[in-house]
Amino acid sequence: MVDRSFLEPDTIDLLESGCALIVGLVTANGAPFATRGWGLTLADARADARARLLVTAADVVALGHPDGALAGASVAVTGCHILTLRSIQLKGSIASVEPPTAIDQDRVDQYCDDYFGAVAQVDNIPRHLMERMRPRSVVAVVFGIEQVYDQTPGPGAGAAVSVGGR
Amino acid sequence: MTTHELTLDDLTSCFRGLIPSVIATCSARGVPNVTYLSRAHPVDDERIAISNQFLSKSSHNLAEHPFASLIVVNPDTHDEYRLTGVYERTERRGPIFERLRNDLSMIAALTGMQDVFHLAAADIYRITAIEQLDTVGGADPEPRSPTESAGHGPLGELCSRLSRCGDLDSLVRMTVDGLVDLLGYRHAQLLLIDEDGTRLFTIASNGYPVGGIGAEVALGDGVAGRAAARCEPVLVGNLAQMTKYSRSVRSSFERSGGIGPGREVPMAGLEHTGSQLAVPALALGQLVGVILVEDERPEQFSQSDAVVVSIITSIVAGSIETLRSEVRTAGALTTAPRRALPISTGNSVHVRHFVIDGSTFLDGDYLIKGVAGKLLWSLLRHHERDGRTDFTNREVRLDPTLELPDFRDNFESRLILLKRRLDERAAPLRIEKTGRGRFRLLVAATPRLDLMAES
Repeated sequence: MVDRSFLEPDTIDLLESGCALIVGLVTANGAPFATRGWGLTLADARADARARLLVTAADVVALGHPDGALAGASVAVTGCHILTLRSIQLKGSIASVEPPTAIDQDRVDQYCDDYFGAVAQVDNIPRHLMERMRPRSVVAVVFGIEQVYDQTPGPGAGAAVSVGGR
Repeated sequence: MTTHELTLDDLTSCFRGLIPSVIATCSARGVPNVTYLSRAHPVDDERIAISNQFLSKSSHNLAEHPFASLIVVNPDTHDEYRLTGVYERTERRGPIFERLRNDLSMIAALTGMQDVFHLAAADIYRITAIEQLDTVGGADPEPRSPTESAGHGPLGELCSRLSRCGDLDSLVRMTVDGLVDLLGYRHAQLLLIDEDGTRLFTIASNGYPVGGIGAEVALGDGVAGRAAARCEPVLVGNLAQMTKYSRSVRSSFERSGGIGPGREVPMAGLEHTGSQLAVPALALGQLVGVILVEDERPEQFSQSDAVVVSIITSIVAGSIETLRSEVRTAGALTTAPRRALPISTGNSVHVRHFVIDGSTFLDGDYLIKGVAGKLLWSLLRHHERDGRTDFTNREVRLDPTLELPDFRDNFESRLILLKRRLDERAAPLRIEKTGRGRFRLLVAATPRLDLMAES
């Protein structure tokens, strides 16, 4: 389990920013499943290196797990800086899937503001077009971070990031 | 398609490369991997090809569990689609591979990585399901349509005006002015090939805050350089996205020691370029130059624009070749040298000229280099020695210090480049055409010549 305190501050800043979040999950029958993330919060407790990832609720249902029970399944999430394309991928095991809290809803709004704003500024894509991508509803996927990879495009893509000297 | 009404045909716009696609794979143990794709293209009505150059983990996963989930985005509506795919095969040659390789080499050309950044393979997937993602959506937005070409009327008018141009200076000016004023393109440049056939230089432009006369780009570099190297039109609708990706890859190569730090190919004139169309100008099978039109907005040009600009480039290329040969002939009709015109201002201008590459500075500011710089220096030496201001193209082109090649010496182009550069800079030295194959050096300040020899 990776401790948040061992992640570089700029890595935390990237992942909690309005970066593009893309998510890999696995369906009940073992197939990969791509979706988007709508906000990532890295837990503060050092002994409990968890991340809270907001994903489209309909996509979690579409995975086909009985009662949406994803606990123990693996997840991958890649955060990509809109301008530099610096990308970090976290991999880990899902601890729970939870209904969204009011804080989660605020987090989605803040994330969309940051993400859509960055895309508008850097890529000249109008905000109203980006708003069409906003999910109808989200759920929170809580997972423990086990591996960290540098996914920035180039020959070094996929290299494991050494975390806290480990 | 096995389970959904949507087909790959419905998703054609998603594969224009404007918005990066996403791919997720997973290992046999069920550990997913998710990343962006650089390029994806439809192969047939149920298969797509994906560029594979940095997908080591995805390839590893596919070897043991040949399934993928992809997200593609329609750039006009931002509707998103999830594709379920089964990996079928990898190709390293053939038309599908070549198509993706061409896309990748264009990206590489933006930051001068043609020698190191290559497509490794094209992975072919059979798509078994397509679903639209559940999003807020909303009313269908107005689709972003490319700039409609202005139609036959303005095109015909521009062709007519070009055919009435009697010299190179008016021809190059009319070309870029007509592209902007008559055909409605926001920014246009005409670049000509240099004497060595290795670089393009801008001889005229319209629609830029700075004219950029004399700016150079190597063949193969950037969109204009690539159009010249391939002698075919190059249309890029997502330049901002491609440039971002290219910069990121270049940085990664630099960090890994694969290449040294390099200068990014300067994009022509605009701070943020969204789309570009470059069309080579050919006459008798020889490359004469390139016309470049561009826009800050993405996806502004279509194939019909390429056709329109191709018509203009054909006329321009043919006219340039005709003018060059006519000027060479007319140059035989020399006239006696005249004395210098009186200097009107009493001021002086400090001219520094570097032998090594012809770089020439006026009062400390860079003016021009290469043949055009050597040409100015030659004229000024004549002026200093015997007060001459009137010259013929034929006599000047024989000056050995210009180091012009025997074949296709490009003298007229360089003379016009020098003239336009001096005009752009509002310099106290100017070139004025006095007849076919003749010109005059206008001197409004006393030149103080300073030759900087090789150290």
